[in-house]
Amino acid sequence: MAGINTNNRVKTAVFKFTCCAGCQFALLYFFDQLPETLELLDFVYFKMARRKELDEPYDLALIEGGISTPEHIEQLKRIRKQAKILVAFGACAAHGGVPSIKDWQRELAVEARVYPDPLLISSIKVSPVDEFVKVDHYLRGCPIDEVEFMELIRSIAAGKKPYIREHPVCVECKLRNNICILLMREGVQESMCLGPVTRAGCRAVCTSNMRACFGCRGPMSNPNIPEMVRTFKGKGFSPKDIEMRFTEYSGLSNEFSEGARAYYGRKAPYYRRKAA
Amino acid sequence: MKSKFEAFKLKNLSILIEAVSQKYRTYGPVAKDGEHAFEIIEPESKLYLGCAVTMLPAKYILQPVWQDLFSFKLGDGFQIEEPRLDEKLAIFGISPCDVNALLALDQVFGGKFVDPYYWKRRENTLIIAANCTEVASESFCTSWNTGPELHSNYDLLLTELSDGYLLEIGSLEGENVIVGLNLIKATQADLNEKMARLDSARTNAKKKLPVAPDDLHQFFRERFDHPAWVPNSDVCFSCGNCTIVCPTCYCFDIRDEIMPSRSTGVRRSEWDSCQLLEFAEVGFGANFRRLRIDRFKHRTIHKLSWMKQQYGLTGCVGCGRCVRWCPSWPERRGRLTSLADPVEIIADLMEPLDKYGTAEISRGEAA
Repeated sequence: MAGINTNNRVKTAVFKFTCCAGCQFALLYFFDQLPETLELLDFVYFKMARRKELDEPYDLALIEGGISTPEHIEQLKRIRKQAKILVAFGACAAHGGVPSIKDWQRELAVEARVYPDPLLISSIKVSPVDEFVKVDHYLRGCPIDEVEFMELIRSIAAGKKPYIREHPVCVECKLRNNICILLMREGVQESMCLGPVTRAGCRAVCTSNMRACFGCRGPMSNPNIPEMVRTFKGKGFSPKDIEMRFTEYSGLSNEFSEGARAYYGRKAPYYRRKAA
Repeated sequence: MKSKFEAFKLKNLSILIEAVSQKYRTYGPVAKDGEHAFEIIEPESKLYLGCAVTMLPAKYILQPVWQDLFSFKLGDGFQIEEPRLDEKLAIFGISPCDVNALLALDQVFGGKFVDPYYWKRRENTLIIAANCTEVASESFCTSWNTGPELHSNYDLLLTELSDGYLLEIGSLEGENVIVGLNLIKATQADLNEKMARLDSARTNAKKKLPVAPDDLHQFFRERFDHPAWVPNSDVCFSCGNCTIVCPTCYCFDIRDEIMPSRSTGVRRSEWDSCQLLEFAEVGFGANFRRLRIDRFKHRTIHKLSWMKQQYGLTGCVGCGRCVRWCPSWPERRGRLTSLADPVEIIADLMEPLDKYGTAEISRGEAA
């Protein structure tokens, strides 16, 4: 990994943008669970954990949350200049997450619902971090997964490429000997499981507990979105249900926004195309 | 009966399970969330010995989903530590199709190149098979002759009768397990009942491969560019479910996990699937099977034909797990059918070419 001296601890800063701070909170929890891995990091800026800000440069920036004001963009670009490695930390930073639901509605209507005088605030549509800066690694999920976090930090410290899963949740789910909750054909309940198109790495935590995958980790490599829509449609779910499921956590990804638009055929309010 | 050993009659299974689980770590098909799964069993466990199309096949006992191959340490030189694999295992109630699948895996892991991890476990495994007195609607084992009856390659063989079980012995090790159990000898009437029950299972199994197994090689050769591959692979999720539940799939990935100290670590294997985009990716991002249609075709033809060329044993035993667990159910011939179903795929490929009209034979969508 360019520029990181692997013999020392990695100087790390944790930044929060628009999100619930749950991933940062998960990081605090890891201090108990993964003390050895956290030992590899030296936090110079971590608002939730320490009051004092150290005036020290850092190599690794963990970015939590989506970008939703013009000031955020400026700050993010400053961080990018400083950091050698920038990690999009959690679903909001990687795909907009829950706050991005507002991108599917009119900006002013959303603001008016929350603020008495919307003119006093300056908010823009929520964007993932990679809309404005280059991201070196993604830690997806709402919240981030313990094992994946461990793999990433250890790999950064060892200067090797981390193993981040790109295959669907189905693989991890089946390996755990779970029954398929999408397939309950004669069964008790039909569920809108996004497992066949969502990226794994969560150790199938929801489906192992008989809850449908809601796609917080964003699309897998080469997902078959039209088939997912057809499957939901065949199970009798309404267009609104399908749109909501696809936009719940990762609607800003090209693939999931395609799923959300499948019924209405309308142009997504937010439609991003990655450079080929 | 070919066996030189005797046959016995069992009133209930618990004494046999107890005798086996005293000496072996015993797995058997039990109910789980409305389906069946191979799990470690106790004498009081309620086993399901019908046509138990369990979720994960029995192969996961011999080739675990995740497996620590060895742990390593860097210090004065390089030290490795391997796990011990001498535990005695027993698989209770394994279906004939799954036993045949294990024979195919034996060729893969114990043929020309021996995988010591698989083979050590395999040698320590007692096979207590159970004939299927019914055949599940998604299974087509009769086409491959891998079921519903097992003729050889078992230590003990059970067949459900109207008033108990028929127990046949297939090996010395199997005989040793039941020594001292004080079992009743089976009568000719019991043997006749077994034959009658298996015959009725065979006749009731409606699902058949439309092509004779020996002709499949030629069949796929002729239809490698058939247009029916396109609509089929278009509705495939490439999610890997069909391959993970398949009892003859054997692909795995190996990775090193480095501990924070950076001087110790574990080398680990995990099941992999040819249906995943990353599977055929090599250095610099090149990928031999970037297109979904290529992956779909690969699975189908490898199972049904190439594996026979490679190892001499069929890669499909007709258990129907892929049919059961495929999340995609497109409409074919006016009804919903599982996309992964080999019988349906073959039927599609038998359609005349002009059925697809002038539609251009595309290569499927790009990854």
